[in-house]
Amino acid sequence: MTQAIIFALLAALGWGTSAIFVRLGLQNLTATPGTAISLAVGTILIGIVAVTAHGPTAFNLNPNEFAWIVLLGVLNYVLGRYLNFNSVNLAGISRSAPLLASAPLVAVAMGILIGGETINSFILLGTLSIFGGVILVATGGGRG
Amino acid sequence: MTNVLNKAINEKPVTTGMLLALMAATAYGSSQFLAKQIVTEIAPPSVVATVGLFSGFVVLMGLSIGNLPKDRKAPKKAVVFLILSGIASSAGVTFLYTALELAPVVIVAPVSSVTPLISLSLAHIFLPKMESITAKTWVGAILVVAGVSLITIGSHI
Repeated sequence: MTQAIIFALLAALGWGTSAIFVRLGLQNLTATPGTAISLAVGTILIGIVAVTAHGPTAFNLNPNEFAWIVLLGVLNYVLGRYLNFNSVNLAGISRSAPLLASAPLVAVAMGILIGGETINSFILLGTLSIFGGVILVATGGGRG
Repeated sequence: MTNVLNKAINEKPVTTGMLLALMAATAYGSSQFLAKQIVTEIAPPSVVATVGLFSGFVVLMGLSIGNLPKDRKAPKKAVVFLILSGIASSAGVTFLYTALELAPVVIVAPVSSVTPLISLSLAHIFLPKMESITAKTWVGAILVVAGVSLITIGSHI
């Protein structure tokens, strides 16, 4: 379980680092092609890792399996980002960031209600603490 | 549908924006739950990440194809930064799916949500002219670290 927590923190580190490069890159390019470039590089890089680790046969997915993964990609990279950018544009970062920070609460709720996962008081308190902390971080970062 | 959305945006932009933020959170949250089911039952994390990233790329290319002539004139430096962003974010996606393969969503989702704290810390270190850290940020950071610690303890009970 500790290994999973380390991987989850590494995921956050990857996205955190990516946000810095996005901030620098999008000074001269709009968001949609910028995201497309970022996703193209990711596809190639992780594709090489996947083929090296599991062989090309790992991509032999049936249409149903393929459709689920496409749904995941569209849900996360297209719909999520589109709604995210528009919400910031309309409501402002101070109003949209706290609402966007509720994403892990949605995931946790789905894990419990649909996935049948269990939660103890430590995990519940930790989740609420992170939720509150992320809201403060997202709305408290001033510009120099 | 578009008319309804445009009317809502014009009449109540802030309320509509907040509603869209909740919808975005639902999309992000449900994508983590969906990813858990897929990496557990269908394919390894790196394969799921590759196909997922490619799907997003195809749809976004379709949306941005009209701007291609203009975007081709973008400075090489901007493209290099976005390539580096792609490397970092795709590593993030693969790490997330690996974590989801190893542990329940109730543990992985909150821990992986500490991204704003990391990006703000990195921005403060590498882009000090663009970001500053307030007292509110420090309190938030302490809450995030406490939360991750509580989840780590809770995952071993």
